[in-house]
Amino acid sequence: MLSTIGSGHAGASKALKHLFEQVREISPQEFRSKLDHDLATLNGWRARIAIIGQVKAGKSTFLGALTRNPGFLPSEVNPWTSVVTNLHFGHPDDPDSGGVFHFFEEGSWERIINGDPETRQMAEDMLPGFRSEVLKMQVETMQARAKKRLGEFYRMLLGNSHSYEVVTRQTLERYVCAGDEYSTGPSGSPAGRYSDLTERADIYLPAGPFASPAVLSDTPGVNDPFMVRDEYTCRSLGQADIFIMTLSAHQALTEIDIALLKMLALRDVNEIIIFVNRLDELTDYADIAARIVEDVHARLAEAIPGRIFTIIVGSAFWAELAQSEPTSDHLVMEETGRDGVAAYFDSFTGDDRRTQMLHASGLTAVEKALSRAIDEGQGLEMRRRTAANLSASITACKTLLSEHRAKIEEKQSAIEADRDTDAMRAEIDDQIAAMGSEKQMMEAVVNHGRNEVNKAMDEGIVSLRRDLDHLLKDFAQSTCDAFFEEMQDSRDMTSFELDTIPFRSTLEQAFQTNYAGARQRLDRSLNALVSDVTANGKTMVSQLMTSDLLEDLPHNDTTPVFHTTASHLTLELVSPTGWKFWKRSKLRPEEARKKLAMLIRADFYPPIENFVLHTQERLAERAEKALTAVTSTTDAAFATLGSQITELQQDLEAEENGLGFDRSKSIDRLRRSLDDVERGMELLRNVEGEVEALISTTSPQSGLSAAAG
Amino acid sequence: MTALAMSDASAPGAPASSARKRILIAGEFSSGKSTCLNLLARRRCSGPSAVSLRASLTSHRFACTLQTDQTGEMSLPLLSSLDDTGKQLVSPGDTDVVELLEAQILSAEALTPEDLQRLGPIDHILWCTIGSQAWRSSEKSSFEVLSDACSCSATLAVTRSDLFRSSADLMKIQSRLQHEAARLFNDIVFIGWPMRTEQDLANDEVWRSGGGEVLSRAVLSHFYSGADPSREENAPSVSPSGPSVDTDAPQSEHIAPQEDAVGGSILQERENPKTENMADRPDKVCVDPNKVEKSMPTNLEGLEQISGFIGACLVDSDTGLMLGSVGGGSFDLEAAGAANTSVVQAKLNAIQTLGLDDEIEDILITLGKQFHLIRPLADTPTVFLYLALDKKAANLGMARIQLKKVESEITL
Repeated sequence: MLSTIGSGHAGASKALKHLFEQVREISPQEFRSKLDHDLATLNGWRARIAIIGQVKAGKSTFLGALTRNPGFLPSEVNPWTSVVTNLHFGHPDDPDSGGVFHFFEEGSWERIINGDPETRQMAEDMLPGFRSEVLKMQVETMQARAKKRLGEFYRMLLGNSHSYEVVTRQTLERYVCAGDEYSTGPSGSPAGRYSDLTERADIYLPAGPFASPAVLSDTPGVNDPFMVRDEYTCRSLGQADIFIMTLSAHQALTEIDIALLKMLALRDVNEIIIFVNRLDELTDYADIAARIVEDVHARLAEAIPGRIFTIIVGSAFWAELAQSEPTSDHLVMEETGRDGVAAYFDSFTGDDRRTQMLHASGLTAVEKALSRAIDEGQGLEMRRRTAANLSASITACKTLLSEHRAKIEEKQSAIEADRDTDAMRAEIDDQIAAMGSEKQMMEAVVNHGRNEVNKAMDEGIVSLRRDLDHLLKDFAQSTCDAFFEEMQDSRDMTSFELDTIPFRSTLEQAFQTNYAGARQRLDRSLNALVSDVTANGKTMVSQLMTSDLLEDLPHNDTTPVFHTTASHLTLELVSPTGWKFWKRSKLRPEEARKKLAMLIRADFYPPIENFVLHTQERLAERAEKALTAVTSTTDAAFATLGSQITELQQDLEAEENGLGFDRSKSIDRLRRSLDDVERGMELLRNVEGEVEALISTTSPQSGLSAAAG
Repeated sequence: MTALAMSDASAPGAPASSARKRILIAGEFSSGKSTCLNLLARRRCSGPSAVSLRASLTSHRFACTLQTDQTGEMSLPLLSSLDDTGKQLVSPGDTDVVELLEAQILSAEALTPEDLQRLGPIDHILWCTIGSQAWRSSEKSSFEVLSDACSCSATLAVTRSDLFRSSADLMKIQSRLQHEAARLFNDIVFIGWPMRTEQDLANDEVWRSGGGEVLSRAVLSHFYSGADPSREENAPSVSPSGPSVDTDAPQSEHIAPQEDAVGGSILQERENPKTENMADRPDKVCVDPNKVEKSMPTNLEGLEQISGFIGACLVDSDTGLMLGSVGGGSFDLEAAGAANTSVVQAKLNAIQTLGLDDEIEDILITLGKQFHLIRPLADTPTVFLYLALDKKAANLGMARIQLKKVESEITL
């Protein structure tokens, strides 16, 4: 079966959704949530259709046939439906099978008794025979019956619901039917078991004949002596936008029917399809159908002037039979065989009896009218509202895009105007480079200075050692020469004693002289370094303090201690340990001279070495202090320099970020944004046209369509 | 509102006072009043119309003759037309003048005191209601107004009863009317296909099968058979044999044809009239509005954890009521639970019969593919847990323990 009801709306909504998507794509982020919301409202929309009328007008049977589920909604020869049953078709958010039966809550009975004030007033004023006090009594009866029927545990159902993944007619019967309350036999039928406690049933079905989502409500009907049915039906009037008002062809449009239609008129309901059922139970179908349409039309014009109703005459029985299984062919044959039926069917198009029967049943005409009510009525209203929202969004979007465009253009001109930025960047780069080279220079100066200082110290040490060595060598030479002569003169000499004090003084004096020289040499190199640093640093750091760098340096002069304690040096010429050795081998003068030289050197070498070490230490300490002072000064200067560079780099960065520093890239980007904006504007203008067209679409006046003929 | 406008269809010159019995045939439009009139008169006094606009009152006057059948016991009044002067055209035996007033009522609200005044004294009301929508609220209201004004006996005629698609349907209608309308009427009769021609009406068999005889008896015999039933004390007689329901007629597939089920059950009904008429006894069903109904939720979710779980429900075995359920899928838990109440009850009966002083702990039913476990609540043995498991995946021992655990946590 083709899904045809509401296909116009489905198509138009799809187009509208497409417009939404287009706008959404180019719209700024802040508009998307509103667009999404409006789109969700459109997607969430469903045609709300209710079938109403008097009890036993054939509502459930017809609704079953209309929704391609003939026989699904339980119906009976007595008033049977006692609960509003909502059939949900084809909504994307809904499942396509199953159902939920909602039970009363505490206080639900009270709510039925009291009613919604507006609806109740209307029912009392307009529905002949509707009396609140009778309703109250009946509700209380119903409550008592629920207790009786459901046993002591009925309270466990209050406020709960029963859910099913699969709902059958038998399931429905347990919840939405009156049940066999007058049954004479043993009550074993589960029909109506829960209906006294069921407030509402929601049944989910595949889309079936509906191209756009719809919910169809089957109502119990009005004018039943059991007024709870009336109350339920009146309540449902506010829950739907499109109504199928079912009349019986036997008594088309009684006072009750008129009252119900007047209630709808008061609610400003515009979409009312009047279906006159049970044509199959009359005779002279064609003639009667035409007369009924004419009569109902005339009387409605009198009772509710200024309204146009779609009136369709048909038969739910035929609609059901036309859709029955092929096994029921004999029933179709039988029905067609009745007096005048075949002739009536022949006035409808269709290749076979079933098709003709479907048309004669009024089902196709009702479908068409429903489709029109959705496509051109309620659905159109919805689409127009949505389109109006979209239009508002588009206008806002356009404003925002214009502002965006203005900003881009401003940026563009700013880039054009601000050519100096390159120069600034170059300047900053130069500065950074200059600073870098200054730093390098300074580092070189310091390194050079350090080398010079080290060199100066080394020279001082070398000079000291050379001088002292020279002195020692001379002293030894002269002493040995003198000893040799003396030994030559006196052969019996057994020992030689040398006074070292004078030479110690000589050495000390030489040390002092050399130390002073070395220190001066060091100080000169330090001074040179400081002056170099100062010279270099002046360009680098304006206030480099170097004047006091070499103040308070240690060891301007120093007095080393002679570790040699002996003031006299004695040379034994015979072995001190035994006379035998001396006797046997007395030193020859040459040997003795050599030995004496060695003795002198051995005695004086350590103090000379000590002098050198002492000098090294003292000079190094002095140099170290000076160098540290210089380094800390230069480090401070480097730090200043570094922070200056960082500042410059930050300036540069800020400059770049502010304007998009890479100009060609920025300009490209801006141009692209501008293109986007222009394209968006263009699209919005186009969409706006379509949206405006949608908004201004007016519903064509629904004409009187007498489908019976 | 449109007032009842009197028009005299048969004898404009005849003095109204000559009528001894006045019968009001009333109903909403197209409710079969003319059919009833024709059946009573056995002649076509007015033709049927599918549509009509206004409230109206039409008078038809007849000479009424009592007929005696062969046994001499039954007497059926025969109505014969009067001529323009009010003189009988045919005059066998005792005669009387009967006036049949055909009144179209729009609604109770539209009936003014003047309208009722205009009706004059009425001896019997025949209220016509159409079978397919028989006895609606508006009819009840209108009838009650007429009935209060006239204080007389009444008959309810259910017309177009031939359209019921099965005798079972007819029975159901009878059953409902018995409860909803019985106290207001002396008789409820079912009228069939409208007699279309004079020949139809003249043909006894056709006339009888259309309900003519039961209608005449109900309406006219009150005056002539000597019986004057008071509707306050009697349940009305229902005449089920009136219209012949064609059981071969096309039937809705879901209603099984039920042959020959009419008479017996109606008789039974009459012997044991049900007193449970809600409009009848409002005082007995008053509910204390201060009594707050508390809902009692139950938690069956623990059962979902049982391996092989298909569905479970909590069922009251007294009513078959499903108090709560979980899972199920395409498995109709409600039906299964309700159906298994008889299993529990059968076992309880067995225990009682065998004199075992014991109770059911649980009942295991092993199917080819499923286990069904039934476990009455320890505290409330009339309520049981019903659990369906997939045999392949389930571990029976574990399932029983878990079921017991959930059961112990349920309090009613």
